[in-house]
Amino acid sequence: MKRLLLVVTYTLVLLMGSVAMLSLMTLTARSAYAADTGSAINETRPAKADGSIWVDNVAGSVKIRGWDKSEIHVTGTLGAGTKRLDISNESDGIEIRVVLPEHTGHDVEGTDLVIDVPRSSRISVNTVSADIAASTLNGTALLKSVSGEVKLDSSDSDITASSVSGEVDVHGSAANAHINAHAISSDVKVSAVDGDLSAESISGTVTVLGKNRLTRARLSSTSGNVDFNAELTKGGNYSFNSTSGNVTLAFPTTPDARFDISSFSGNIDNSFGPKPQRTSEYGPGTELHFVSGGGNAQVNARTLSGNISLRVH
Amino acid sequence: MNTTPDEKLDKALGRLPRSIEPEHDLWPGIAARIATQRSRRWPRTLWSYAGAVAAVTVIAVSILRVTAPGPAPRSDDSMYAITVPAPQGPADDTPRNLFAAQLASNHNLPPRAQQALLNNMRLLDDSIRRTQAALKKYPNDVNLQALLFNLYEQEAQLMNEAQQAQIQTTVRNTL
Repeated sequence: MKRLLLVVTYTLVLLMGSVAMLSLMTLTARSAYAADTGSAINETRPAKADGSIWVDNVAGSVKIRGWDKSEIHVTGTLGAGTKRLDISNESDGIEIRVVLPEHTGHDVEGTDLVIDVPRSSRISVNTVSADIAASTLNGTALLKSVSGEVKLDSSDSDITASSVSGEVDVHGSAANAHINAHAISSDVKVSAVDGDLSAESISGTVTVLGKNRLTRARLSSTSGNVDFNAELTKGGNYSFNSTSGNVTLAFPTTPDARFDISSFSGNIDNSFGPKPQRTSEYGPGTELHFVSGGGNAQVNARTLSGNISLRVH
Repeated sequence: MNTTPDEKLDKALGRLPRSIEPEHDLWPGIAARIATQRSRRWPRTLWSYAGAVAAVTVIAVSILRVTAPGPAPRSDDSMYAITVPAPQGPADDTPRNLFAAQLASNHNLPPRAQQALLNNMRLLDDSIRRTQAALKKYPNDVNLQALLFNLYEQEAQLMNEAQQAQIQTTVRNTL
């Protein structure tokens, strides 16, 4: 019995010791830098080439730039009303956070951050009204703002860029990337991307232009226009939806695709193929189904009351 | 000496190897995937909570829509037929109105974003009603069904964005 008690006590002591050690290690790893309100920020930290960088800022701006060094460099100025800036090392990355006093209203002055990071970092930026601009990166990017603008110019492989009421602009991606760009009331613009694209806005215009290589593209808006001004990729699958906005598909040369186009009460205008037919069987709308060239891509476009225009320029 | 089919089968079974080694070692690939999954801290806890809340909201709205009385769409040839709920009456507005009221009472949201969310929720609501009305008249129109499906997806997206925006402006400062 005594021996059993000894074993149990020994095990408990070992467990408690391990927990204490772990807590100490965590505390050490989370050593934080803190800058005071109004002061200029100038901080450098070592960073993994492909580690995670998390940035939280409420108002002002966040500018991220990729570079070839294995460190991050944070500059900028803390806005009046903010509590401090925390830069914490975590086990799998670095967190940069503008901390506000509790129960803050709209009286906080914006904080502008300029952050240089290793090019292949996995970036995650969240802001409320702060604009986000990121460039020269080739890792992954998750950029979200409530009312700020979001702008990304990169070669990232996994991209999410979104804002409720700020404009979203994505330029460039890695090959075979996943690109997700969406907004609620503002415009979304995407160019020079490669891979699988989803671009949406509810009342803003969705635009895709420039040289792209898309295996799948899904563009939609509820009341805004959808403008696609680019080449189609062989084997690509394209879907364009708008309820009351207009859909315009403009191609640099005669496209090589199958087209399935329909509008419930809007007009369809086609400059390079057959004219649309009125669908008498299921509704009052017009439809257009045809093959252009070898039919090596698939294009679907639908509207409820918006017009659809197909043209070659 | 004649052998029965059972004996032949036993012999054949006996000749089979006891175990088969895979053509190549699968463990490095599995280990690499586990390591990748462990190292992924993306999306972070905050967004996981937001996603969970949004998912619950969307599921609740969907259940209310599907279970509320109304004629079911009569489309046999559409992939969307099973996912497009029937047109709804005024009772359907309750979760949406609650959600809108919750949004309107959030004073931490930037006014521009708050207005954008509320306006676009109304816009989606109106578009859904218009599409439902058209679908009621032409229940076999596959394109209308697809448009309605897309509108529901956008509504779910809006609710998700709204939840995340609310969390971003209220919870973040206490973390």
